[in-house]
Amino acid sequence: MSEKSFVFVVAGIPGVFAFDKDKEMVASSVFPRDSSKILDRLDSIRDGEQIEELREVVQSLDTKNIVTDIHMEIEGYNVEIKDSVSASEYLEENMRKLSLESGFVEEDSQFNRILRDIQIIKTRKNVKSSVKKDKVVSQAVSALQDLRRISNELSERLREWYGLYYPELKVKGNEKYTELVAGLERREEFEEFKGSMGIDLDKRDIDAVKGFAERLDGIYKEREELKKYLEDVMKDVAPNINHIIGSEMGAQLISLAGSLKKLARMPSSKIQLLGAEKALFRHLKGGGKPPKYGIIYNHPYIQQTPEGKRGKAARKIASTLMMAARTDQYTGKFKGKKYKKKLQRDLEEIRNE
Amino acid sequence: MNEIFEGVFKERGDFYTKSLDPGHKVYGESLVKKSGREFRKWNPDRSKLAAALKKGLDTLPMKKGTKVLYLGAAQGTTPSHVSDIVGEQGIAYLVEFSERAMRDLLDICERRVNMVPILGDARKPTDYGWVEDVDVVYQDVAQPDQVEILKRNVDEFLKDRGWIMVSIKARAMDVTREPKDIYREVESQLDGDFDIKEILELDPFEDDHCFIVAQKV
Repeated sequence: MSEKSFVFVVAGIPGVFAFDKDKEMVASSVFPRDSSKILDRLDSIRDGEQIEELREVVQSLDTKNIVTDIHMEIEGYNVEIKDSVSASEYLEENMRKLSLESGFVEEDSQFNRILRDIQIIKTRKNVKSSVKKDKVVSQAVSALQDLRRISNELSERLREWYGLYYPELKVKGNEKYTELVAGLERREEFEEFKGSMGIDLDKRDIDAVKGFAERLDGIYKEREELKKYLEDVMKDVAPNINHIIGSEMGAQLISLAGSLKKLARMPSSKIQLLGAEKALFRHLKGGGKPPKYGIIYNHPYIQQTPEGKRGKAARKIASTLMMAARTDQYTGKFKGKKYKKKLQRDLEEIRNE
Repeated sequence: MNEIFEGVFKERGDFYTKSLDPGHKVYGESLVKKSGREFRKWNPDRSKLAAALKKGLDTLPMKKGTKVLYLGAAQGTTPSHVSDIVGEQGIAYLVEFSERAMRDLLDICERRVNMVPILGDARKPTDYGWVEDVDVVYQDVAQPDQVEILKRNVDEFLKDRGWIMVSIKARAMDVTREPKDIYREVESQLDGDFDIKEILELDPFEDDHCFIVAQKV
């Protein structure tokens, strides 16, 4: 083909262009100034459709020899298709200039607007596809923690409030206490009632505190629902982490890391200290001892280990979690049982040293 | 209102830009009407560029028609003022990595014709290689390797004699070292490739931050 004349045919945001081998524009057919129409046209071209602008450019050429990165077959033309052609790069690099020269736009601000519109559409798509299920996990575990904090706070209030009326009611567990208060009209209805030193309240006063207890009871029920939900989602999103350390702490680790992907890329020393950032930075700035553990401190694995050996146990747990996170992120396989067994054996050894 | 730079106004110690989108606030800033035009107050506690202006920045290489590549656009607080300054003839390519921040940023881009959103990693400029050459690379990314990130983008997109505007967060680079040591090190890393015009510390608006304006040699 080299001895004969040929042209490059390429497409971009402004339209379809033909360049000679010196990158002089020899033909063009511009797209409408409308971002979604442009994206449609470009998609069609990628799918091998012969759109109107492409036909127009090809028909206006005074040669039958075409070099292009567009997948096209046209009767009567000699088309050489390459993966990349330099003219495409040239079009991309000079898009603003060529947009003005071809009449795609009349001035810079029009070009800016179209570029912006196209990027908004593309970015929305990208945002949608980059938000993964692990974000749901992060939100759910945060919501669970919020509910726990709030329900404890409200329970204290309920005990103080109802305690004015029936201070003798001694029930272990805030949830149980709330359920009892929400379920009964008057203190005399309690089985163990033998008179009270509390003040007398009329129906309106009792209804108010009872209403409060009912709402709080609802919060406790929601907390249970959310716990179950989190267990389910964690089994999907991170089954290995879930099996080793439980849904809530596993979800917390994902949330602290930012995503499962980020957790999977962390060294185990960092996983060990997730949640202890404050102590870590205090140490790095030259005050205080280095922390031994972050949120994994609260796990029974650590709590069951004697104090002098907890640092070592934390290291083992973190390295197991690192493997689990990588297995969850990159393989989707379940090896949690194996990991957990090994971890329990190792921890047993540490405790008996 | 005194116009101290093209598109940047000052009144009683506060800075303003003329709004490209009158009647709308971006981040709760106050709007001031003067002789038929609307100005948005530029909050130095929210925007490091406003903090730099407060601290006496003399060089602002942006005006109507300037093309800016903005790395670390976040929720768009500072970019919205940049958008006011460069106007409809100018353009700001906004690179942001966090999809959470991008959601807020997209709402602002919808209202401003010169703000072009890019969801991407500033470490990989080839991912948005279609961006044209620009007059200014603005960087606010708070990463330990931010100078390296800056240089990659400069090589790919900055015109000859173009400008960089960089916010350095010492704590993000190394918490264990003195901020002043870090600033000096950044300065020496930029020296040679850039003619450094200004280095300003941003306290009390931002602790342990400095702001650099320099020109490519």
